[in-house]
Amino acid sequence: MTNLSIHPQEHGNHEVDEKTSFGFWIYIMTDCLLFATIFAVYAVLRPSTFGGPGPKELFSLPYVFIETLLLLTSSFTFGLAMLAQNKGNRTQLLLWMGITFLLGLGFIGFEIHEFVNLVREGNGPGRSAFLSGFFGLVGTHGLHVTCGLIWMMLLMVQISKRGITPLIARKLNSLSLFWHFLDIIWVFVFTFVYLLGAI
Amino acid sequence: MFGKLSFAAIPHDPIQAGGAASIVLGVLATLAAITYFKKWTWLWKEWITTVDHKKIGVMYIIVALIMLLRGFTDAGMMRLQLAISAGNNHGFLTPDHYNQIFTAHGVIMIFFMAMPLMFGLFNLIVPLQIGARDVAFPFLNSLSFWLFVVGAGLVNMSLVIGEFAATGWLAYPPLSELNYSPGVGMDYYIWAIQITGIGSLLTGINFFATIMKMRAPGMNLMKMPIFTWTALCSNILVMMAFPVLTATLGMLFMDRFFGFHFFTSDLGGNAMMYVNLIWVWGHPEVYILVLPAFGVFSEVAATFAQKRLFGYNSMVWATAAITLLSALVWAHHFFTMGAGGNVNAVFGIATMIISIPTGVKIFNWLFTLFRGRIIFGTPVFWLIGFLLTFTLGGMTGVMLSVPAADFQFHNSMFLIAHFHNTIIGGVVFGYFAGFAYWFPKVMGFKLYEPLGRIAFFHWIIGFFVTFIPLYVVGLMGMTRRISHYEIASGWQPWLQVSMFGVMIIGGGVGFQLLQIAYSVWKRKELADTTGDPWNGRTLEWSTSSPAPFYNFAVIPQVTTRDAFWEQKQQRRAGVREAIVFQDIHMPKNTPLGFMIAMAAGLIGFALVWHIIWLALLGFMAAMTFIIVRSFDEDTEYYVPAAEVARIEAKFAEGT
Amino acid sequence: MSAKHGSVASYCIGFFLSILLTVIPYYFVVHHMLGRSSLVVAVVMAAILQLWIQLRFFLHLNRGSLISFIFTGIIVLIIVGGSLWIMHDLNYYMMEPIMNQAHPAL
Repeated sequence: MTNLSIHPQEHGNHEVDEKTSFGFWIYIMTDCLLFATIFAVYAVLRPSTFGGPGPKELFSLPYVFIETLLLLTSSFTFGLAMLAQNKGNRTQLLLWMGITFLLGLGFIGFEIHEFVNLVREGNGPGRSAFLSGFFGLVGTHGLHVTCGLIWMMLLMVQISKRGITPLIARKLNSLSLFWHFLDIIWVFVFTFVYLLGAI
Repeated sequence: MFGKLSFAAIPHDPIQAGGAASIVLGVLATLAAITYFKKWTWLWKEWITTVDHKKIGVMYIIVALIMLLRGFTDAGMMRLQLAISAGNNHGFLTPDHYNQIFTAHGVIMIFFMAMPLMFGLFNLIVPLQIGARDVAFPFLNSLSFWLFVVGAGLVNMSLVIGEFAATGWLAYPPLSELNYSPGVGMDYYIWAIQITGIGSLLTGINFFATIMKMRAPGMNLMKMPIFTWTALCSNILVMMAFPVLTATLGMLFMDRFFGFHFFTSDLGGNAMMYVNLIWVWGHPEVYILVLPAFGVFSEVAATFAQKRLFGYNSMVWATAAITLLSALVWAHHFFTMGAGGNVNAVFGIATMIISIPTGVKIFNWLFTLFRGRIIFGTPVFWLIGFLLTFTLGGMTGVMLSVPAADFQFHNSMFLIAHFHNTIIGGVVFGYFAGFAYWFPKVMGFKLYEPLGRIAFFHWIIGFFVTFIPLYVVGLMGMTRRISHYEIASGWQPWLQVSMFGVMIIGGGVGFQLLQIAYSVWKRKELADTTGDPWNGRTLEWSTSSPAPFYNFAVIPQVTTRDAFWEQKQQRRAGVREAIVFQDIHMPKNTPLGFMIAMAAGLIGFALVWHIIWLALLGFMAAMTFIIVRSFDEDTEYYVPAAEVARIEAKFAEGT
Repeated sequence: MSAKHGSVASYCIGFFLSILLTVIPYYFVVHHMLGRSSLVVAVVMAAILQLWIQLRFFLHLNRGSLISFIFTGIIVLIIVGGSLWIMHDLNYYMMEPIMNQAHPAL
């Protein structure tokens, strides 16, 4: 209901929360389509190694497994952060966000290391269409995670300065959707790129 | 230091230099005029920093009309070239220049004329039709608009510094890859479209949230005005299609800038995947454009026939069916690329099916007009013109949808004639009708009728004189995108007639501009004092013309379809609503939408010319502005109830 | 989506199940525990299951968000599935030897 003729102070936060929450979820759906497109390109280009190395030769499953656990755990710890936010516990919130941040940073560190190694070996994105597809898909996911980390940092600054205001709660809710969504995309990357690549 | 940028980038070909000069002079003249009339502060406070959807809508339409002039000039040049460039005469345009012209024509007309006209109408009308005070995300609305302006700016800048893409409006690889398009034209193309595309996607999300969450109490989905329904479906398609465009052009950019091999012709790239993906976007795009035009016609038919829309339910279902089906037909754009019979047959049949709900809509419009007491305002002329023109275009579409036949038609002038038939007959006529219909609501005075009719007749006669010959030469074997042909082909007489047609359309455009100028001059006589110049049926007509900045002093309670019509019946029956004014919560103006977009433009320009330090600077600026906005908690204010009462009293006086 | 965020218990369950659905396919693949096609099916199913787990326990998918999610899912299937079908067809006819194109004269 959007009946704005009630007391002005009351209407603001709940409706704004609902609209923002809805709008951000819809944005996440469009981001799914963006990833779907890049996944489709990866699927089509996967056989095109142009005589060069393919998934079997290039991917280290144990390495990616650890990376996956880092991101998965960070999704869990962000959930705990949201529980702290619900309880209004600022210290716990910042603690769990900090842990999430470090785990996410670890994920990115692993990924950058993987990329740098590939490029050093001469297996950068320019080597073949397959590698372009790989770097494009995994790289786009990594860029999203990096944006999430920057956003997380900014929110932690805002929380430590202002506490858990309704406005900040709204932003946290959006970041939480974003962060969980990124882990879900990673489930598909892990499965279709790395696991299926090794079969 | 400046990447690839040098003085050689300024065009020296006389025609291009002339075009560049006119843009530069136009911009300088505008800046000079603003300075002379001392309007900078007003412009900044009232327009550049506004988050008011009505003002944003006006700005979209103004820019769209300016870009229409540029796109139309491109069309005129092409028609003139083809009328004379036969046999020994090679016309006045070099092949490369001609290629840039048809590319720019397509890009401008779709992205920078039709889309903004549509977004403009959404902005102006949808919140009013649903009884809302604003869109869901006013700041994003401002940002979206300025991103669009930046995209248009890049397209225009390409004429002044550098060149534009010469690949056709969809820039297929391998031609659009670095080795075959080494210049900056393709990069201008990529960044203009990427930047405006982000704006479009944000607008799609914005209006979807607005329509889903901000309707007046009592207005459930099946009580919404039909234009709002078509806006809803169009925005769903925007959200569905634009991520694909962004991803695909992003990959093309990675090929060109970072040496990736997604779509290159070597190292395993697959150019056909680009064609596939770009049409996954491209087909829904044309339905994005035409559905709201259909919505306009539904409103116009009901209002001017003075009876309610025939078959509202079937209209809604037909719109929804078209929306879903438009996601299932994209391969019909490349039947000849080499897929087998099964693929082509499935997409061919799906394409034919989409004509059925469209046909339902045509019959609904006809039955709405039937036995109505029709008032022949200009919008009705556009409606009737549309019914004749678009139906023809739809029929040639079904001809094209037969894969075997399409092997003859594909990329011939027959195809060109078909899509102009549907785009002009459907989209352009629809938005012109919407412009004439809602002009009084936005500006406070009507457009001068006689000039509107003259303009319409120029357009429709001009359309047929231009495009029927193109159907003919298409059947005679002429392909698209050629700038010279042999006399023996027999095409020339037809192309000369076509050129004459374009001149008639040009007359139409001229009369439209004259109509606007004359109406502004005579605005006192043409004034709309009641807010309801057409005896309308939907809520936007319940406000003053123009509407107050808060739209509704009191959010209406809705009980039926055609909510305003119902309100008027109630008033005639003597029922009066109790009006209690409250403080109204409104968003504050902000320069940050504009500033973030400008930073994006800087990034785009820098990447076009490979000026890396400038791109990084632009990126830092954009990040800073985003962070500043994020830290700003003071983004809204209250309008006191007394102020609202005062404004409403003034409106009541004038009525 | 801004509904109550569940409880510590539900996050723990989601986390534990997700770990399981990550470890098991990983283990199966690394140790070649199944034949090729069965392995593919198992791994994909684990992914879909983990998707559902995370949607339910981490994202708290409710009726409102379900509709848009299903719609998005359908579009994803159409775009990805349709593209793969088309590209496969194109590959067969356009990228591989002429013999693929059934024609008496060839």
